[in-house]
Amino acid sequence: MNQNSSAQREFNILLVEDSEDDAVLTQYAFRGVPVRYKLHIVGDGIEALEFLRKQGSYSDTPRPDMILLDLNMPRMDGREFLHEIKHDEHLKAIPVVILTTSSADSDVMNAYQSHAAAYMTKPFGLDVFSRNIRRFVDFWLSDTARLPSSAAMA
Amino acid sequence: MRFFRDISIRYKITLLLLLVVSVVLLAVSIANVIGEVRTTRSSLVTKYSTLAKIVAAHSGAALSIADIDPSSAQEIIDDLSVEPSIIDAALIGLNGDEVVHYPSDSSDRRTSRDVGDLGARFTDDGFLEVMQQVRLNNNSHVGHIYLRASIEELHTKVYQTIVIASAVYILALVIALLLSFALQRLISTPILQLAELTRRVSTEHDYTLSAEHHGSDELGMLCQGFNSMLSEIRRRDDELMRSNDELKQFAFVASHDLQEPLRSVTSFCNMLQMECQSDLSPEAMGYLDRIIKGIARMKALVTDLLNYSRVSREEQVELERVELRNIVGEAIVNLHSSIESSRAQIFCGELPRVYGDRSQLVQVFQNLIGNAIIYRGPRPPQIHIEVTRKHKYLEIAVRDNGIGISPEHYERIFEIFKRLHNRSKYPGTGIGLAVCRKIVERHGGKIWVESKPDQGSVFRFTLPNCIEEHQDEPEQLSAARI
Repeated sequence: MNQNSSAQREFNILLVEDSEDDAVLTQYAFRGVPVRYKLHIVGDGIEALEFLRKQGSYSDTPRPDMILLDLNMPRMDGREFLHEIKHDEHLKAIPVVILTTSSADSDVMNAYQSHAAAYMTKPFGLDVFSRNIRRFVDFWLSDTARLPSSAAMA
Repeated sequence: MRFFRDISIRYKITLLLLLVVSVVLLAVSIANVIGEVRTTRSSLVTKYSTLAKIVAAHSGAALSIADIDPSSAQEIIDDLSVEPSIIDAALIGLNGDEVVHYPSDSSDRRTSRDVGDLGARFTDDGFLEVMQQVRLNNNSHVGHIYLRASIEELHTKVYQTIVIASAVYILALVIALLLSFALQRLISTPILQLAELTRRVSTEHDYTLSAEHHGSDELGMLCQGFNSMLSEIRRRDDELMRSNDELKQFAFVASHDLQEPLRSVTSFCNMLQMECQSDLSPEAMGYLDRIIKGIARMKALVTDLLNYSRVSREEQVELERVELRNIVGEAIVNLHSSIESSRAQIFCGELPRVYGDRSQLVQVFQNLIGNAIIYRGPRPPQIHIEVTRKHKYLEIAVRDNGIGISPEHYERIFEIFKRLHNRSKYPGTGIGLAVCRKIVERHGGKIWVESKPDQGSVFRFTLPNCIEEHQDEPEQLSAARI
């Protein structure tokens, strides 16, 4: 167990995902990761923006350390949402990792062009998915990559 | 007869007109010649008969005294020298003996003649003989007059007539020929235009052309019919394209959207396996396993369908110059795990540049090499890839030493979802070769197989050749939208 301050830090992760099934699976995959985290789930881009801007029914939400973003959603899909927050001065620093079933080259390219931090596909089997989520946590939320501190984020 | 059938209608019409004219003219000319000849003959007969009659009319007295004094009779008969065609003539007494003869020194002098038939007749040796009675003024019969004339002038006249008629005939034919050829245009030109249009539509597949003809005869109807057929083709074409597009879109969307729930089912089955082991009997775990495997197969099918529909969906195949070396290399990399586990060996001959879509060509090689590995025999797969340069295209052969295919299945295997073997024996969805065929055909090529059971297979396909090696600008060719 590392003594880094990030090990004690509780990460707020916003999962933007319209499929309930996928939300359940993602939550399951996060179980057992060696960090403290809180997974906030919203169903589409509009809700996500409300969450981030503390609007509507989301008045007292924390600022997420990372956003896990699905691409294909109703009302406002991942692409539009990404474009929106990367043009928002206050929100654009939050790293966004795409988490989607699509492996289309065009989707990958567009995501990075719109300043996504990374692109992950949802694999078919649960074991592989769990492994990938563990690796994700290992990279972003451990001592490999650094995220802005909570103080800086406020 | 076949010759006539195959020459252009221009020449047909001309020849027909010419034939009519020449037959008619020939008949006319012949009738003309015959008429001339007969006229000439009868005028000759008239001429010498008249001459004989006139002389006969004036020689009655002289003939009646010719026994005693033939001199006046001789004088009269000698006057016939006026007509040079008269060969000889004679005045004949009642007893049939010649009294006087003209010319006087003729060798044809005969003492008696047969006075039988009166009138004129043409002899077999080419003369005209005339025999007339000589009577006195009181109508008593005193003898006969005989004339023999040459019919040279008849022969000459016949010859002349024939020559002139022939010349006129030939001249008329020439005029008829020129006139026919000029006039046949009236009929043939619109027909030829329509034929040319038809040819263009067939070769260029351009159904937007139309025939112009403003008459309301059968030709006009033909042009109208032609145009309405073309517009019918265009209409059906458009409809087909539209419905095709819809179908492709449908297939794409369906196969794309089908993946989501498959993933859910598989993942939750996985969850059951991982979290509920203590709650489930071994049988239940077994069933779960079968469920997961079933879904995996469905996923493979759906992925392949998606792939297949993606290949047909693209608007145009963008052809660029690509290196077959790199393409085969990438396919091999994608297959590396099955290559390793089957200990497959792949040999390549010269792999040149080609015009094609890179990712689609990788798919083709991946499918063909992949199949060679799957359908292997007892020995490790040995795969040979050879390229032969043909005139305007390349022929690529992928040869294996696998289980082979019997001839009655040669076409079937390229159909979508048609497999020859049990899934458990040889894995696969039955879409690989269908995709290959689609891709190859969109590149303008063909794909086929040569094989015998247990003797391996050779899959051959053609691709457009890279025309110039030294061109600097990579040309972008687009295949027609299929």
